[in-house]
Amino acid sequence: MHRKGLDVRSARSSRLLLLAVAVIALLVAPAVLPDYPLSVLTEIVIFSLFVMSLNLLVGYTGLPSLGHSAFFGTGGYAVALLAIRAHLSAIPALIVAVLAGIALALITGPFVLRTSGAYFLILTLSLTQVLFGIVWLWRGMTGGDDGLPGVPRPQLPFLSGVVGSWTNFYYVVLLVVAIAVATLWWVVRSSFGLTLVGIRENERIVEGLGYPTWWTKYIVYILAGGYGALAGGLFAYFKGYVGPGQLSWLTAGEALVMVILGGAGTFWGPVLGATVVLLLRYEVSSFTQRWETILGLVFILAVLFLPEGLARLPDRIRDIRAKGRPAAAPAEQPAAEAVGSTAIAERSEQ
Amino acid sequence: MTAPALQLEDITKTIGGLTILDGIPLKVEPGERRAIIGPNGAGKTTLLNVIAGFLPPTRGRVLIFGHDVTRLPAHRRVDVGLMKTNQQPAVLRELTALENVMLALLRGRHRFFGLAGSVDRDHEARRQAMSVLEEWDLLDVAHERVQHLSHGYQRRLELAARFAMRPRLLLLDEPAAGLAADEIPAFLERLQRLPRDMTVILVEHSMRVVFAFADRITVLHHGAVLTEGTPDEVRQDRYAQEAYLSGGTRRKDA
Repeated sequence: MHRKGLDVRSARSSRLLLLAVAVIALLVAPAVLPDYPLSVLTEIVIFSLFVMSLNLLVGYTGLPSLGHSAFFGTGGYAVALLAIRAHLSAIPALIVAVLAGIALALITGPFVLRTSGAYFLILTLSLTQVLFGIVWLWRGMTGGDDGLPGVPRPQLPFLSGVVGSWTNFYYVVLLVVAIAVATLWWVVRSSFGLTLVGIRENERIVEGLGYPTWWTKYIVYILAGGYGALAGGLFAYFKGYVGPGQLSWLTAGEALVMVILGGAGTFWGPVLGATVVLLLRYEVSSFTQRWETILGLVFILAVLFLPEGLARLPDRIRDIRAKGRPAAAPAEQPAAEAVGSTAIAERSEQ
Repeated sequence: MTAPALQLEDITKTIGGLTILDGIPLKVEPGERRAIIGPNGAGKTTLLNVIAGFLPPTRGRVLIFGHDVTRLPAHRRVDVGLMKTNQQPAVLRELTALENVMLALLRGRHRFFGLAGSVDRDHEARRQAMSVLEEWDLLDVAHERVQHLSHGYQRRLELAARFAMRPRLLLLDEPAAGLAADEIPAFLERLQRLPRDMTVILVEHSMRVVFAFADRITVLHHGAVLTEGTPDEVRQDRYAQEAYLSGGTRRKDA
């Protein structure tokens, strides 16, 4: 018991240290990275938010979505249309993008949440394909398969002239994503977040404890939609362009691979997944066309040896090193008189 | 006169043309300990699920403390003081024991579906949860994942979490099932010490537990009430004996 407390504390402080190192590294990255690797890092940061929003559904609530690109694309088109047609600046455009994602989730939630498991997967997939079709056919509004080019990248005014435009945009992305991730952290650590994990484990039990589980799922679906659209808006700025590919289920599938590879249901795991997949795509593709083969191999190895994701690697190493030590779980029932007597006595006095 | 803790009127459940429950009447007074027994397939678990709101009845009404809850979903029935345990302990296996109790305690505590409150920072709820765990002798496993706990521990945790919510009507679905024979006396004692302001309905195969615990016993057979009475009356009842007590469906611990 005592030892365990110490373990927990030291694990927490080492995790905080790791986080601090990562934040500092992200802040100073532009000083050491040329434009191209910095753009890869920018994409990793944006995708991190996207896969974290998907993880709310897949990892925390146990709702496997293969249509999260619907929100990613909606956010992208909202930002592109507002920036190009209405010349709206980034903050209002991103807010509208989030609202568009929320609206889409509000409307589609009652349909997709009639199901769970594989049926949820197929329904969300259909949803994003329907949007894909609409965007593809509505050329006048969306540019069809040409998409909408010419989205201007937002810049932080107090940094313009001080740093280059890629660096400036990188800080915009970092700021927005950091704020979003902080709120996501709050969501998963709230009682709402605990309810989500409970629903993933056994929805009926959570319902039996008095929680309106359908509404809980609806709300997390709406939240995931909002965060997904925010990431999509940033991605449109990043590319300077939005096209139907951003809505495609292939994008959703790639995000799902990132979540599972990194560790569904862990907070930072999906970030790890996004980093590995995007680094493979950009680094491996520079010396072979077959980067997806390599990704496939990595995925298979991860599923075989780290089925809970890369984020569990430290736990796995600890488990392997701890092998041979006796298990901590008690195996036997305590004696008869130790039976919640205080609770009952206290209750009967009331 | 106070309303009965539970009143069932003509509860009928048919699934795919098969009648599982056939017009069940039931009346349980506040504070009563009622056991529902009957051979396998008599409809006992289905009946509990209808009462708890997990299954809608085909016909009939469910009243809890005078409130007609027939159309209320399961989670709303908790508001009138109902809680149910399952044959497989209703605990969340990936969570720790503490988190299981916390989830019970945090219901309705934070606004906006719990988004307004942090689990870690609610020291008051955490302290309460720890004291619940202490009362149920689960303190030593507070931070263990439930899937690593033995069945007996899981059963106690299930009850502890439900007790934390202070139910007025507790439904127990075969709580002694899966307990080792030497665990049963302690468990029975725990049940007998439940406060009398709580009404308990027990479905159980262990006759030792049933006859020691219940004020009244209802015998179900083929989805209908065969007989009802005090333990002594039921023990004397010829039909009940034929249907169940001396039948081949008796468990080895009966």
